[in-house]
Amino acid sequence: MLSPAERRAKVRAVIRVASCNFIEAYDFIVYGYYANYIAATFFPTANEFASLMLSLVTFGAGYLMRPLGAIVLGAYMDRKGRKKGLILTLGLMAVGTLSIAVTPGYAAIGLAAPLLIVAGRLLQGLSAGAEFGGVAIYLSEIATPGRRGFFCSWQAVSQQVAVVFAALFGYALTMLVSPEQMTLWGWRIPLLAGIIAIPLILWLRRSLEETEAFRHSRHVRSTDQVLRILAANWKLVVNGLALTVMTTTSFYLITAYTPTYARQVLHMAPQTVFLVTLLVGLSNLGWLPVGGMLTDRFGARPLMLLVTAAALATAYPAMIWL
Amino acid sequence: MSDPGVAKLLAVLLLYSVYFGLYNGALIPLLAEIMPAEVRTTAFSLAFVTATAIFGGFTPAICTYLIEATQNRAAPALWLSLAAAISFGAAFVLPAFQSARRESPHPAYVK
Repeated sequence: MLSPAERRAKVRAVIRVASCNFIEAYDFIVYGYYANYIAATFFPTANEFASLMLSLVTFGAGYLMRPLGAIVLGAYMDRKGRKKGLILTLGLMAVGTLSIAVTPGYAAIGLAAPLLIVAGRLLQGLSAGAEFGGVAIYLSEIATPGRRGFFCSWQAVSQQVAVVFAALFGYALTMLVSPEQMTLWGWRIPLLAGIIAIPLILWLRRSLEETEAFRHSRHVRSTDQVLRILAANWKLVVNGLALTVMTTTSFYLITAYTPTYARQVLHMAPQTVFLVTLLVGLSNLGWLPVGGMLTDRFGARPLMLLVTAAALATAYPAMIWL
Repeated sequence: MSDPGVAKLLAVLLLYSVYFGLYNGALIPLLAEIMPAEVRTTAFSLAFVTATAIFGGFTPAICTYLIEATQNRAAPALWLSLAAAISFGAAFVLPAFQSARRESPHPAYVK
């Protein structure tokens, strides 16, 4: 059992690293929420479908950068420590988000506008490539024995808080700002909000502690060494990739894609869409720690087999009924 | 769109939210545990984000395209079912892959 002081120290450590993750996730996901507006501002074409596709492909391009970020910045965290790595990734994310927020539209500066957006999105992707993993590893390394599942769940919980926050922000914005103004400048406000990453970085530099596990272990010395160990374990990495497919597809389906689906396919009002996204985020928030605790109790693999089997049986019938 | 439409959409999304919450709650500690210790962050991140790059990040684009191509509003669920099948297979064969881990063996989190 932990003493009250140790307990408080653990809670504070979780809060620090979770707030880092919150900003990172908010900055990364906010683009998807405003993809329609970004399409109109930076990717104007005569065909609304083509314009939206361009914007969504740019959204996806951020994800293509992530494996590179995982290797370059992930190796940095394995060499230099979790703390230094997390602060670096958060800084890169802030630069990427702010550059999207302040770039003038296609109408003002032509082709440079979409190019700058793509560059900003790529920088965001580089950062996100290592940050989420770094936070998960940090939490797993500070977890008390037998509670790794519960501790790790705060990585995803802080992302969900970001989803909920982004939805609330969007809801308030569409209530206050007319659709024309939303397209003109309104969508920039939630991206500019990413600027709060800067005071957060300064705070984390002072207060975030390196994990005991990292301080007390042998470290790899070069990225080259990292690549060699990775290569020796490529099957495990591929298996980990395949395990992650369910998590990532379900997550992006119910968060990033939902606003587009509800607007384009079901023709729902923006306010309704944000409300639905908000409730889904709250539901995720509730289920994640439950998943972590069930894992601590029964093991991860049985739970994963059960959930994927249930999804195979019910996902399509549910959407047909829609 | 009428209110029943919104309620139905919400019901489907809340069901999917249960899949996501429970599955992710299990995945993160498992992935942190199975990777070789010295490259834990890199290996975790690489596995996680490559899956996200292929499946997660392009989910909005692929679903938009699938609906346009098939004119089936339920097409996104087929995409999700494919994902569930892949991860079910991966979880099924995990013990074999895990025993092949090189360097720094430490206790497995898998039961």
